[in-house]
Parts: sequence; C-alpha cells; structure tokens
Amino acid sequence: MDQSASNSSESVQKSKTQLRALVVDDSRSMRAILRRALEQCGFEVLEAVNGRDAVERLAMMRIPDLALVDWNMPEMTGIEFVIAIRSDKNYNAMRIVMVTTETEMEQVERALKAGANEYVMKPFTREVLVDKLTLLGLGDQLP
Amino acid sequence: MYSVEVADIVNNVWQSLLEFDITLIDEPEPVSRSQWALTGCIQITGAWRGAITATCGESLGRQIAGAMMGLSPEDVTREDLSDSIGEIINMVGGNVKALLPSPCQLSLPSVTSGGQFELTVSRAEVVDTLHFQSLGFPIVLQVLHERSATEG
Repeated sequence: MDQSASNSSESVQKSKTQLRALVVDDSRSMRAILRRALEQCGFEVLEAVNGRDAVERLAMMRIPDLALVDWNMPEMTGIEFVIAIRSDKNYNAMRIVMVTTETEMEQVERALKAGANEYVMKPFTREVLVDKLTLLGLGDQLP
Repeated sequence: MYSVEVADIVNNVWQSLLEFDITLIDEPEPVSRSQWALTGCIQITGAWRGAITATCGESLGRQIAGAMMGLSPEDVTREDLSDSIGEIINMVGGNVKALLPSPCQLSLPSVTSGGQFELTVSRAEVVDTLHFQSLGFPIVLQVLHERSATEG
C-alpha cells in the first residue's frame, strides 16, 4: 500500500476521533480558561473540582486521553491524584499534565516521579499549552 | 522585599492570563474602602511566614473575572469575582514563593469582599505595598511578613 495514502487514511481516522481531556481544578475561573484553550485545540473537555472528584468521575467514564491537574486543591491535591491514578494500570495511557504555581523544580520533579508526564507553570499562554500537548503526542488535531 | 520581582510577576500574570496591561504607579489612587471592594489573600508558612494580598474595586474585578471566565463583565457573578481574584492571588503567591527561603508552603487562597472592611493577618505587618493601575482602575498588592519571636 502506498505509504502516503496510508498516512492520510490514518490522519483522517484520527481526526474523526475527538480527543478528550479532564480538567481538575478547584477554581472555576481556571477551569474556564483551560476549557477554552483545550476546546480551541479540538478537545472534548470534562471537569472535576478536586482530585477526589476526578477519581470518582474517572471511574464512571471512558478514560480521557489527557488530564490537566492543578496542584493545590482541597480534599485531594494534584500530587495525591497522580499517585492514586498511577497505581491503577488502567490509566497508564492517560497523559497527565500538572498545572501548577509551584515553581520550584523539586516539586515538579516530585510530580514527574509520581507519574505526571509534563507540567505547565501558571500563568501560561495558550502557546505554552499547545507546545506541551505536542510534546505528548496530542498535537495532531491542533489547529 | 522583592518589589521589582513581585511587580514583574504581577505583570506576567496580567499579560499571560488576562491579556491586558497593568502599570506600576508611584502616585496611587487609593482603592476606595467606602465602596464595595475585593481582597484576595494567600498565606505562606515555613521558612518565611506571611501573606500576600491584592485589593481592587468591583469594576476591575469584573474585568478580571470576565476575562478569565470568558464572560462580559456585566454577566460576572459575585462567585465568579471571588474565584477569579482568588486564582490571581494564588498565581502571584505561587510565583513569589519561588523567591523566598525554602521550604515554604502556600495556603489555599481566601477572598474577602464588601464595603469598609479591614483585612489583617495575625502577627504580620505590611512590608511592601505596590500600587498598580489596570484598565484605568487601581489595584493594590501588599506583602505582609510575620516576624518570628527571635526577630523581636
């Protein structure tokens, strides 16, 4: 089979499957910002208000491709969420991006060690978010 | 303390997140305490103890919340206002924390609103006040430091 035709067919197939992202943040304004940015990138966006809410919602939904997770949240923090999710191999394919104001590298390293795939420091621009998604292989559908 | 760095952080938050200008000003127009105002506060504990607050009036609060929520300023609710100012001070505090001695921890942000209120942080005193103007409205950022017993 012609390789270019195969690639084209794959990309059509991919574009038909809308990527899904779960935004986990206790701030509704931050969820709104992330929702807009992700929807502009072609994602279907779901929301949870803290780590515990996210764990409960994940148990009842098709596993999203991506979770964007705040650090500092009541009930269950972002790092606790990452540890809980990465202990379940069903979620191995879900990419986790920490969205954090924790600018110290040791905190970022802690999140990466716990199983987060990437991090974004707040405040961020849409371009920074798109770069991170591209790094994670989720950039195919980005406009 | 780190006035220049803190001003840079505030400017970065405004440019990146809100996409409107903010200017540090020398001759401030005070945020009227007799009118409805909004103060976001985040506390820092650990090797450095204190708090950072940001106070603005309703008009700027509505512009900020509108930009964050994707709403027009007149459609913003009081809950949107509180949440947005809380997130702004959380972001500023998180970035200021990187300038402080380690280890430090951030509290969750708190927001107080109303008319003629005075926010105090126990045992802490104001060590820096930065006056800004954004979209023609004042916003004041204060850094409060809690002196340890050994500092007197």
